[in-house]
Amino acid sequence: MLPPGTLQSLKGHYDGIVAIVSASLTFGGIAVGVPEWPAVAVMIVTLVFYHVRRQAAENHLKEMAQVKVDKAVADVEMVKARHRDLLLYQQPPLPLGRDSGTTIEGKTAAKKGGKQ
Amino acid sequence: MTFMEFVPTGLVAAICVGLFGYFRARARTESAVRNRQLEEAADLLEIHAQLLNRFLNDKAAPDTLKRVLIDCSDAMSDRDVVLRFTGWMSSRPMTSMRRDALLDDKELLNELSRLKISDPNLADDFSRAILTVAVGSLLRWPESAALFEQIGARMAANPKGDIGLAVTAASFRTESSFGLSGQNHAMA
Repeated sequence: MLPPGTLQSLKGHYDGIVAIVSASLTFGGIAVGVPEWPAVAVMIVTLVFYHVRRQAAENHLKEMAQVKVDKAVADVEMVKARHRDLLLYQQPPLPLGRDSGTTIEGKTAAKKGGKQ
Repeated sequence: MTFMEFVPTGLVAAICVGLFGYFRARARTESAVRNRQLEEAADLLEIHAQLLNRFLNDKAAPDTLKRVLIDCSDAMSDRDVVLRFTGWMSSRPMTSMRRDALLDDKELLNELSRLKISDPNLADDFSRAILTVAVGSLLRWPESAALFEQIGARMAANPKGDIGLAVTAASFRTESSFGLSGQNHAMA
């Protein structure tokens, strides 16, 4: 039924495989007596569902790549932060530690310490 | 069922399969392109962080160039600045990057020339740090990545592309981290 070489060219192309298999099943079903419009409706739902799933998978890959970018940006900002104060005020940056009082955690710890 | 009875259903099914193929191909291509852009942006920004660290930690690097590098990096991490910069740059003639007279700042150019003679590797780090942050930031956002072909050609065609790029990008930032302008460079 399919032109020669079609299956060979579909190797690895899942979208094409899904399209051809679902169309073949639909037309095959109609040929053997399945009601035609419900068969087409099922095919459409299958294709839409597949498209949505693939889209979600592709978006996930993009988000993972975006996380890598955000991490790289954070690294850049960290390097700049270390040198910014030194260049601007000719003094090293304040220590940002748990007990230094310069972070939210540090401030909370300092308040707790004061109460005790 | 006769063939003529099957025609409407077959037509609808064929149109649906065609639309599915079209939308899938479009979504797949767009996703692959954007994915590749983000991967490359991440790699370039990682390299930028390493070069920035090396340059800023080096005692031989002049403070003026350190400030320019941080200013450029700050500017290129701001989405609005990058979009304005790319929009402006993509509409420029091929070899004209200068926005105004910032590059007439002789001290900056002299500092770089001196560094190129005294420590070519450090000067190379400076140039690479600017180019990596510029290209990485362009690829980071889809709107600027779409203009990458035009911008890349202009970056390659410009003489003194690195320092010109840094100063021009920084000038697009309304509030500079050091409040630098061309005149302030000379004062620093």
